[in-house]
Amino acid sequence: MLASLVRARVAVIALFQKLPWSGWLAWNIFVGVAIARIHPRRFDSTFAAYLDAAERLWAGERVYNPLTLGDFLYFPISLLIHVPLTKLDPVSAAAIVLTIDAGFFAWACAALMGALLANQGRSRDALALAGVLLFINIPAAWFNFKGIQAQVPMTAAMIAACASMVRGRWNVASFWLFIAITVKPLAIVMVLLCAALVREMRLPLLCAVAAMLLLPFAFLDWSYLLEQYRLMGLKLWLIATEPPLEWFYQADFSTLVRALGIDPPASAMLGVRLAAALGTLALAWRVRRAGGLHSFAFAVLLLSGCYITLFGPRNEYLSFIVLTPSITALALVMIARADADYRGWLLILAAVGLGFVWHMDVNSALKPAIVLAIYLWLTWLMAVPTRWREIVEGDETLRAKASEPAVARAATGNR
Amino acid sequence: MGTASVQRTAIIGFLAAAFIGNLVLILSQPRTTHALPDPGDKRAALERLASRKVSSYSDLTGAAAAAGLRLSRRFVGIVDGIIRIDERQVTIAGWLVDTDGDGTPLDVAVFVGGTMVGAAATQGEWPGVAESVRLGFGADKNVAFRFSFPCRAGDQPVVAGLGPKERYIPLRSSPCP
Repeated sequence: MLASLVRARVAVIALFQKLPWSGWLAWNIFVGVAIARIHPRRFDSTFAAYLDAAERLWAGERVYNPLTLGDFLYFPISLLIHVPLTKLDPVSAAAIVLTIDAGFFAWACAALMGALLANQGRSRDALALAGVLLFINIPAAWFNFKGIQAQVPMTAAMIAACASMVRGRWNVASFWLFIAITVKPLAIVMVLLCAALVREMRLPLLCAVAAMLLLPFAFLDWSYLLEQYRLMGLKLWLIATEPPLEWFYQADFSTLVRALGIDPPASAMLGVRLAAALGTLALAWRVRRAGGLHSFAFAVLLLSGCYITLFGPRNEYLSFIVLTPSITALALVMIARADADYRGWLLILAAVGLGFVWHMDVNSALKPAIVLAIYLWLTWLMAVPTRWREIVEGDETLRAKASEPAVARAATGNR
Repeated sequence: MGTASVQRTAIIGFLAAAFIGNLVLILSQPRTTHALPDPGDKRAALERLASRKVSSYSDLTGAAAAAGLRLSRRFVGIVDGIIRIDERQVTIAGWLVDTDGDGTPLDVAVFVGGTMVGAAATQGEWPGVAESVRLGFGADKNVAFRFSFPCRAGDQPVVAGLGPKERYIPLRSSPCP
């Protein structure tokens, strides 16, 4: 059994070493097929809903229905950026958006791999590994591409922000986070973590959140917009407090505990969410204090993905793409360093498993359980930040940094 | 193969995939544009649909597209039943709502044997609908429909609900009793 696993591992690595562009080839074929298969019946409940809501916003009609769980249509600015698309044929609009989303996502993943491997003498491999990352994430991307979901550009922008943070480019990272919360407000998790822990990003992110909330006032009637914000708040409250079984597509911590036969009251779940938020902040803070931009930026991305998928308001079983690229990137960093590291292979298995659609019980219980296991493992690693740094940056890098004079470390951004 | 080569493959591959994908899309799919197929046609949506031949629910999809209508994901409705009132006529009853609407009446049209044989606007409430569909903002005020149309026993009526912004929804119905 073990011998066959070793043989499979060696064969997979040999394939990608021999054909380093094969991941990109598979991804690009997938993108071409996804664009060619665009059809209103596939994006009817998602992208068409964005367009419909954008049309209503521009016409001054009610956008948010606080009595129903479906169609949480993000912030008004998310709809405002869709308004020009409502003037086009919906299929053409979908094709434009999907092409941009796919390109942005691929570029962001390549930037992340490049940033993570830059200090390990593996930058030559980064682009080929980015192709492998994209290849592994095809199942997760497939369902999001079908619906032209806003989850894809949000994830891409979060990944781009992480890549910029690795290089200490705080303003650029803040810009990408502004894009992320503009397309989908769930990215607020990463915004809050960065604002709390990175002094240099605090003001730019404050401006980003203010711009996100206030920019629509430049285009729409103020009293109408205030009423929409009020209705949006009411809807968000309903989404956060309604029992999970009311929402068929839900797959998060609350559906996991339900599957275990526990039915906690809404107040207890709110307490768990708050505790998890504080715990996540504490972990990121420990990693930040320990130094190492690579470790910190990557920790923030991974923790944000885990938190969003487990504790975000009504995470759906198709929404794990917010986490799968970053766990794949972690896996590839580990495997690039030591291909026998089975933790990396398990992470790849998890990314693939989270990407597919299974039976509803598996979706609502097993997927959150996988994320919870990864979350707990990350907690164990980050509780002692040197463990985490060893995984992300490697022993050699750490030893090299330790041997540098303190002044040189400060100059290279090891803040 | 070096980094530059992989980079070239990735970029050229992506551009080619996007181009081919869009080309296939353009060639293979009909436009589903918001615009009316005939911009000079200023008739109401119900009249435009009425001028089409609709013999089955699959015909309805094409006829609605040709009339410039789009499927609505906001409309919900059912045909509660069809009862025969005389040798020639039946009465249909049910409800139709725009879940994000404000109570503005919607139209219901029935086709039998290809032609439109009856239509009516929704009017009044229907018991239990407001609670089951969670309606608010007055959307439950005009949801019920009931009207008669000629239909022979065994004929299959095709029922469509029409609403604002050129939207429609098929309402499944059993054959006339």
